[in-house]
Amino acid sequence: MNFHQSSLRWLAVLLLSLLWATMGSAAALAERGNFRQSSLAANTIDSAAVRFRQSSISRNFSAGGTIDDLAAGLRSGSVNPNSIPPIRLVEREGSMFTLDNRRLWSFQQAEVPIPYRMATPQEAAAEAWKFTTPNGGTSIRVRGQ
Amino acid sequence: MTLAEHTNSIRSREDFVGFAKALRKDLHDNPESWENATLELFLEAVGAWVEDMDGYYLNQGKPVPQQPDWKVVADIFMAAKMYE
Repeated sequence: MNFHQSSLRWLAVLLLSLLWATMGSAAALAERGNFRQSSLAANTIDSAAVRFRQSSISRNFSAGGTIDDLAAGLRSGSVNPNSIPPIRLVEREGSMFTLDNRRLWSFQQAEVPIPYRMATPQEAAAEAWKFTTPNGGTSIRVRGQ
Repeated sequence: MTLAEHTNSIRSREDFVGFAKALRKDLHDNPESWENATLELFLEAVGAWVEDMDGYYLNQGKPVPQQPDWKVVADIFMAAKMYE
């Protein structure tokens, strides 16, 4: 391998490393509410077919932004649904419930299919305390209204 | 033992003390797993979950506690870690 080939190989490795690091950071930011970050496309489901686990939700994402902002962005098309981290689903007695209630609320308001994946058993167990819905998850109360 | 298992094993004040230490260690070691990692967010979630907690016990097929014991206090803390 000559010097030119070696340099090209190192440049390729460097670019791939930078790309990988950027994707990881974007996913982490998006998970914390910065829903304009890009991520890979996921399967989608009719948001109206998914149920809430919680009885109520905060209007705010923990890292900033509101569920109203996200709904408006989805409705207007300024937010790409595939840029939002997929919600995690848990099946219970034939119905699909989400562990990610705020994102589901926004997608339901915008009437847009929502990216999803199935929750792992560990995730479902660790977040069992979210299961407070009194009505089978058919609706949810937004706190602070 | 996971935090969830720890919470479900609480029977006494001593158990709760151990749980509180484990919860603090979890915040230190795994802050990314905390939805409400600031005191402001945590306290907001405490109030919200206590308001909604009847549904949690009913969905678990358990009686709604009329008086909180150490297990219920641990439930409140665990829920506040993640409640949206």
